[in-house]
Amino acid sequence: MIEWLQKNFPAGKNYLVCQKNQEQINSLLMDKLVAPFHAGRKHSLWGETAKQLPSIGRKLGWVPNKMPSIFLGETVELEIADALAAQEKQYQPTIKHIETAKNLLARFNLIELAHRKPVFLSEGETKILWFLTQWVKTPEYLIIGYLPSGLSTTRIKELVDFLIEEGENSDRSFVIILGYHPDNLDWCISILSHKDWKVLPELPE
Amino acid sequence: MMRSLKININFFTILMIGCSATLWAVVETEYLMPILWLIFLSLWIIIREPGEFKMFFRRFSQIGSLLLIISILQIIFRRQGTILVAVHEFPIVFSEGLREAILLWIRFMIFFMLAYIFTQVSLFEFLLFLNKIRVSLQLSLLLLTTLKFIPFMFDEAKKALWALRFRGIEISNLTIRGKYFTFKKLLMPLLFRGIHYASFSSLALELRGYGVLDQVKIPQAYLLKTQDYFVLTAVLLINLAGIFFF
Repeated sequence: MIEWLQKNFPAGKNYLVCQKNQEQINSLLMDKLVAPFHAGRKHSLWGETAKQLPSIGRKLGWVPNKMPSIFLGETVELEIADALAAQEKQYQPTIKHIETAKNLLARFNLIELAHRKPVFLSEGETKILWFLTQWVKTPEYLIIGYLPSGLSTTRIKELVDFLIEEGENSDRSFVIILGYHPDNLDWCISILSHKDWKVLPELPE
Repeated sequence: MMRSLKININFFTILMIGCSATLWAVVETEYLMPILWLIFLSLWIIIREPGEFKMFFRRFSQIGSLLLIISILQIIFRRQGTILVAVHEFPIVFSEGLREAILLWIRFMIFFMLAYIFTQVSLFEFLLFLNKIRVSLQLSLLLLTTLKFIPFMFDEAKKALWALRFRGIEISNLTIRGKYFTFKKLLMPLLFRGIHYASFSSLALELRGYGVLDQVKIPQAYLLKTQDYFVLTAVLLINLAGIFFF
């Protein structure tokens, strides 16, 4: 998985990939990362894929349209803080992690969600929270299957601006891969002509 | 490619098989009847789901090492019957110990097969059966919700483990302290989601009017069919043979 990404999406650029449908990238990742977990009892929980998943998870962040897992934190801010703590190989989040989580939420005008239980979030809020937990992992690759799905126009714009802004940040070392569909290009117009972003006409083999 | 033969069997028939096989497996101290039931249940699975039989053995092998230890303990400490193996005149294996060890494997195989057969019954058929024997709706729903709750929790646990691993946490490499924190991290959302699921299920049921009447007439007949009578006759014959001939 990671080798395929390294081969087809070299570091130094971010990528906007044209998909046959809105789920092409997500389906591919779903088949590789999630489906084996539901293949059989023994193999799914402690089998080969399960053993490989932590090393893939450290290098890969993925934001699908439908969340493949559940949130583990009691509140939204603890969920992000916990992802940060895990990235730093700590068992529990510290005050510093919680502060960072709060700052991130504030950046998206979501501070009012900080103390909410993740299970009660709307589809769009769930997607943004999952995005933030993937973002704080600082993986080598961050893949967003189809950004507009489940989000309002305002939220999409906020996220696109965030990604462009962060894409220009030279301190950030990871590659962002966004999927788009030719039928809906409105949301990614600003990315299409951006110098830091490369447009791929199709998903590489 | 093996094809499965889907025969719709009444829950009452399956219950009779379950009761008879369990009784003989627990009570009988000779080989014949437990082996006969083992063959019967094996044939049952092979005929209905040939592909699952291999899977069944794979699952059974997961507790193989535990059974092996118990069998060895039985062989070592049950020192009754005739001596079968002795080293320098010191008796090692007695006939009673060996018999109990073998019966232990047969019993567990029977229980595993029965558990598998019972899991193949749909919840709706189970509800029809409970309704037929006039079990109150409250108790039926309690039983069904419990049964539905197990796979739900299993799926949720899978999702939680996936989330942990995708965060880069290698559970097997954690220290005891790390495992404790990870377990705590997993347990809380699972409990919360379990309660959430149960409360929403009960709300959905109340909104559909469950609980207004104690007994509900479900407009679907749940009768014994020809294949049920055939299997029940076979069960009866095996039981009679066990009582009178063996």
